[in-house]
Amino acid sequence: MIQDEKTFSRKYIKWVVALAVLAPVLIIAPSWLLQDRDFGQWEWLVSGSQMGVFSAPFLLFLAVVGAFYFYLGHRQSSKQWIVLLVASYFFYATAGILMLLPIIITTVVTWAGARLIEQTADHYKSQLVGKEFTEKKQIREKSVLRRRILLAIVIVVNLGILVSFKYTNFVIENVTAVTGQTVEAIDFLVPLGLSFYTFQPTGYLIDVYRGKYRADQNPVRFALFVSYFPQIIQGPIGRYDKLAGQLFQIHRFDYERVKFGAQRMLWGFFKKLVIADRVSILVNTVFADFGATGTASYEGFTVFLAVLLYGVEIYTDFSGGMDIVIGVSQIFGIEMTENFRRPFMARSVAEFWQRWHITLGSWMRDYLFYPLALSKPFNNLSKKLRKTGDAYVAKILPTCIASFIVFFLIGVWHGANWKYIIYGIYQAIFVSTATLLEPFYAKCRAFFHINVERSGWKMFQTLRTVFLITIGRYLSRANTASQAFAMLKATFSRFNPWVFFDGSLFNLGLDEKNFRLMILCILFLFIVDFIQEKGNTKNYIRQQIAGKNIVVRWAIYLVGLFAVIIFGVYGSGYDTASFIYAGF
Amino acid sequence: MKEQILQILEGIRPDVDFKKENALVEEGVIDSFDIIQIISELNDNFDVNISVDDLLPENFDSADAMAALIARLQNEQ
Amino acid sequence: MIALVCLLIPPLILVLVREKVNNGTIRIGKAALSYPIWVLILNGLMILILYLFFDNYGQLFAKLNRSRIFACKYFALSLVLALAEPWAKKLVKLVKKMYETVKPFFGKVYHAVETIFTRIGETTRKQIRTVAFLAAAAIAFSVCNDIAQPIWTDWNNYNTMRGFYEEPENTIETIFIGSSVTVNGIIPMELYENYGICAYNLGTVKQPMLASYYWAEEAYRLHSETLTTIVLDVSKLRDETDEAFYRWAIDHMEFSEVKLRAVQDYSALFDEETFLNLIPLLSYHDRWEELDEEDFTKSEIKVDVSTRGYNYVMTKHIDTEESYTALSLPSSTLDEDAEEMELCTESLYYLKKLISFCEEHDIQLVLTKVPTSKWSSSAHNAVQKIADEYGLDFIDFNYDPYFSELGFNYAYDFVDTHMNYYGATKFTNCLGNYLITECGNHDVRGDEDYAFMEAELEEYHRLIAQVDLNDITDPAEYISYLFNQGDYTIFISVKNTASSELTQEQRDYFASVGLTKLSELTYRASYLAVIDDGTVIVERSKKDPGTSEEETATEEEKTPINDMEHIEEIFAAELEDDEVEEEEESLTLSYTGALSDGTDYEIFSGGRNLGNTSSILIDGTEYSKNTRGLNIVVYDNERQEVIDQVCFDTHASSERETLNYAIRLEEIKESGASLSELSGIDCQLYLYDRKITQTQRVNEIAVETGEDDLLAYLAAYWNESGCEIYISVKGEAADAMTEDVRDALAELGLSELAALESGDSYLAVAGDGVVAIEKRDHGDSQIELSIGSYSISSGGTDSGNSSSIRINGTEYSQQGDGINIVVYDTELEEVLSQVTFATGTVSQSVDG
Repeated sequence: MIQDEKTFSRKYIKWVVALAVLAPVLIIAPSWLLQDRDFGQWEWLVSGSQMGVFSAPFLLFLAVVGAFYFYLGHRQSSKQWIVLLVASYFFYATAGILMLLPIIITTVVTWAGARLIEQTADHYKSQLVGKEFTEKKQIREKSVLRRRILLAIVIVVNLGILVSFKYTNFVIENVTAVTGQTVEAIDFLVPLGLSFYTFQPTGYLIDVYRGKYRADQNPVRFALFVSYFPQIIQGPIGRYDKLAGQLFQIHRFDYERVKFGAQRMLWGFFKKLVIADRVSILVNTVFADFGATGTASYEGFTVFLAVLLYGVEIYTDFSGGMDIVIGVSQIFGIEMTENFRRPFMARSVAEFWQRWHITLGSWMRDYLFYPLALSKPFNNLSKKLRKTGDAYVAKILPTCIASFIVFFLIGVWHGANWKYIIYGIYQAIFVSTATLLEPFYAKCRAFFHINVERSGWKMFQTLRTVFLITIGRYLSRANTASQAFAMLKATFSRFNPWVFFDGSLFNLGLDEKNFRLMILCILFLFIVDFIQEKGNTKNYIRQQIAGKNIVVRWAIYLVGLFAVIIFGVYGSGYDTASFIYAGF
Repeated sequence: MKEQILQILEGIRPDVDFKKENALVEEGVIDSFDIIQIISELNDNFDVNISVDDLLPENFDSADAMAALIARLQNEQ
Repeated sequence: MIALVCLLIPPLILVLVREKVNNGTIRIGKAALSYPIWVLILNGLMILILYLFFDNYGQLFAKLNRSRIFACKYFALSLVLALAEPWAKKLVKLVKKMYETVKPFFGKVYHAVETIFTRIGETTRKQIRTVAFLAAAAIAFSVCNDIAQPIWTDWNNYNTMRGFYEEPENTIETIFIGSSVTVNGIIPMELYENYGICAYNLGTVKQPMLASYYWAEEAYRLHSETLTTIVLDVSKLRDETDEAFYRWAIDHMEFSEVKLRAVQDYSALFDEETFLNLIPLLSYHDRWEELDEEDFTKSEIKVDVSTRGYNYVMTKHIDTEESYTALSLPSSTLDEDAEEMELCTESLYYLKKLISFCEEHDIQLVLTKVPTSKWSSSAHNAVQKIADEYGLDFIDFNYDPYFSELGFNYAYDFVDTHMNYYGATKFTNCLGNYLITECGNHDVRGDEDYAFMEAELEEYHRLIAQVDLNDITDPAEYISYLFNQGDYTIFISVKNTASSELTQEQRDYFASVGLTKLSELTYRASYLAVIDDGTVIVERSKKDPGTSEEETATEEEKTPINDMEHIEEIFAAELEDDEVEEEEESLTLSYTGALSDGTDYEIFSGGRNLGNTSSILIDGTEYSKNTRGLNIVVYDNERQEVIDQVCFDTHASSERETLNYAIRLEEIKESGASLSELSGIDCQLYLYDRKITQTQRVNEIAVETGEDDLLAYLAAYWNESGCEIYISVKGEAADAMTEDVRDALAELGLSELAALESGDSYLAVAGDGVVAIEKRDHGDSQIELSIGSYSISSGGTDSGNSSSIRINGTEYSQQGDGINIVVYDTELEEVLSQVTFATGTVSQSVDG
């Protein structure tokens, strides 16, 4: 509907004022309500424990949801997606009904914001008709400004909720440290996945702002986009144009697709229950030793090995979760973006971040890095530098700064702790300087006569990357920055290769058999990853297995299933010793 | 124009054959750093203002696509 | 000769026939050349066959010569092979032809299956495949489930759990629940045999009260019509148990609503998932690290139903302790005022549930406590209070009157803190009496429905055969008993020598049952025999080579040790000796065979100069006692296990001491032997028994005599045999001694003490009713006496005012003012009593 400028402006100002007034309330309300305190008769609103993805109840939940879903799919019902919406809200509500509040706020605000931005854009486009060039420019600028205001408010609300939960205590701690006046830290009941599910709708909002596609007209449908349960806890962070369409399509039960999905889930269970949980026992033993006050007893290779294994742990844990998520979605017929692409095969830190938590990286790139690097201030900086010094540097430096900022933020996003800030800076240094120093590296390589094509060099690059990333892990796993540095010091203060031979590695929480099993499984994992890297197509390995004859196939599936059941780390550990009868 | 573009591209990434490649972004042949560099060079040389909104794979997947983008932006001005 | 025929003729035939078949004629030259090769090949093949399939390939030559049957078999097989070879090629062609004709048939079958499959249609095929896959997974899961579930064969757990479900429903009248003391303490079969009660022992090791309660429920579920009594041993009311023992008790309960609740309860206790605990593979999946052969051969383990839950143990406490001093002494006096102990909350919770359950179903609940050294009055009182509150009988065998009624002895009725068979029979019979008289249990002997118990009883008797064997002292009687019972395999192997004390009667008996070589056994001869169910399988003996009956020890004594002068020769001889050892080994007699159930055995025997060893290996395990004399191992063919291992030292005596220690102790006491005449177990039994009696005596005396009654005290200990009384005065000891006292002392023989004056030092040693030494000093000097392991000193008021009675360096005198007395038991080498009579201040009287 074409309105005249005045009416629209009035409406616009009303919207903005309403949002601006509501914003503080919407930001504070969730964190204020969800504090860890005595709720009295309202306890039922927050009591509950989040259904874990690696649990039997989840499988049961999946079976029920799947049954409904495919029944409706069989009937070609266009209401099929509602099953997913209900399931998603139910899934999240297992943590406590009140925990749904932040999601609902984000959903409503973002949906409304996107609609408003679009209406603003539409209005001003209609205003463009039949105007002069200079007037057109003015109208365009006004449109941009007004849209930006709306965008800003909504982003502030969404990020505000996130910040209020995650960073309040960080601020409080540092204020206390600086001023000396103690302000008590607040215990929050942090909604799970808060750090993740804020990204997806924000990306959507920015896309609408940029006019990439039309806003969603249906708030209920949009709600599913925000709360889709497989990805709500840990990602992957999806894009509206790729995901929404799939969510609302009708999906029928497809035998092969469901089979592949189930197999993917099995692989995820293997990674998590057999590898990640087993490795964590060893890692925890070593890190706990440094956490306690007093002298630590581990040093040298033992510590390094533990941190290296932590890298494996977080990889299998996180990517195992992704396998479940993507597998579940595959069963429902929804294709999600991969979040990991054999990160251990990266040949540089920069490449590592293209293979690790891919959706976060690409989100940051599209919505933070590019806008930053192509923005006016950065352009001006680039021009200034060209006048003063090296042309190459002038071109590269602004980009490096942008990259630095992005990684710094990624570090901070991990958590509210100084160690994460250092972590972010550490990663940022490597990524941003890689391109900057490229000419220098080229000279070094020429000096040493290194041929970049040879596999020896590639192997070196891979190992170097693993080493550098592992150093970073000291920071991400240790409780504080000082603990991390203590561990680094302990690692390099002693050269003790004998630990690999004298059996002391079997005293880190895993006995000999379990340790060997762990190594075996990790090797197996890397072989599978390697095969995937070579045959880089969708469902590659699963297709390969499906191609074999029935006995081999079944053998692989059964072995996989029983490997998880038998070697998985779950249940109360069985201890033979306690069965030895000792006297009365 | 296309010749100019090819020159610029080869200056930034001499190891890539821009005449043949047509999935530069899709297949990750050029990375985000390269793109920024390309954009700033194109902005300078053709006096256009390529913004974030134009950062779609289809606009940068090949030298031809980039040429089309520049042409469009020049028209709009 | 025969061997040569068997080895050489078949290859000859082979070569000749081969030539004929292949070439039509026989070319001697060719044949002659290939002949040696064929000898090797053919016999090599024969040896391989013998090795793989008959396990009997050694000493081929000797065997062929010795056993004609073996030689015939060998020749026949060899001949068959020899004839087969030339026609081998033809045979192969024939087989190929047959295969070709059959193959198309299989091809058709395969095709048919394929067409059926394709006709079924894609979706159905997928469905079939899915279902089939799930079925395969379920089967694999169930197999792994069985492997994962551990079974515990110790403490009769497996038999108890499985045996319970093999009992016919609605037959059991009484069940016993409780911890390991119950498992070892109640013999349901004895209850049946002596009282006709149908009972079952559901005890398990460290059984938590939770499990006891649920087993009560489970027993009721299956025997609701007949169950009237539940006997609970209250040991586990005091403390909590490890999670492991909940599993030990509950894992093998059959799945039912009762088990479900039991698992839910203990899962909640330990914060575990019920679901996981119900499925063995999920709760025991970590056992992959420790799987062993037993896990995979579980189905082969037989359940012994005759135990009815009882864990049969014959070991005696005193056999396993180095000294009787390690055995505890029971004290049977209850301190009724002892403060009640705080019992475990969890146990009390389930006790209450059990009480309610019994009330609800009209079952009589009886609380009991087996005798043990780890109980206490405060624990007793706590339980007694609860029993009183709910009107339950509490039979505590640690205290009188039940304690005396039981009449047990820790030394041989117990193995560590649990009862062995001997103790258990006493305990069971006590309870049996109670069950009949107070609980109204029925005698079901002769009842048709309980006929199965008779079969179990027979099996039970075989189980406890060793009990009867322990009573037997004569080796001939021993073997005769086994013959009468039937179906035993007896292994006899002599070590060193076993002939000297065999009586003519014994030898006659041996001859009468077919053991002729045993009946003719000579000095230092080796001897082995295997008798299976009355039939002598093998009997071998070997006489001692040469040397006379009297051994001359002088030969061995002559050789000096560490002889440096001749060290080179001696060393060289030693190096050669290694060869000699091998020769020696072949000196021992040996025999290898197999039992009727297929178990292999090996038996060796060596007389003094023929190896001096005895070894009886059954399935690789050594069972021979390997001491001088007749080593006998008894294998029960029915139960498929060894039930006794003994040795009769018939070089020292024609009979052995009975292994029934109760009887043995009786015999020792009756014989009136003194301590110095006893050795080994006899000595320990004697001392332990003495310790019990002396402890009781001391308590009696303490109760009877007052604190101040010197005369009564002395009178009580005066004539005790084996006791020595040491007296030492400190300070003033005479002032309050009355005339009567002095007279009485003088009558005993303590003249100096009778004449004690104020301020005197005095010491004395007395024992066995006689005063050995008495010393008194009226002056101001201390007096001392030091003999052997004891030393006494005394100082009167002006003579140092001290008293000391040291035995083996330790001070025992109470060092009080007056007369210090220490009573020392010389046999036990222990101080029985230490007192002081303050006769310097308070007047003494005869009656105290």
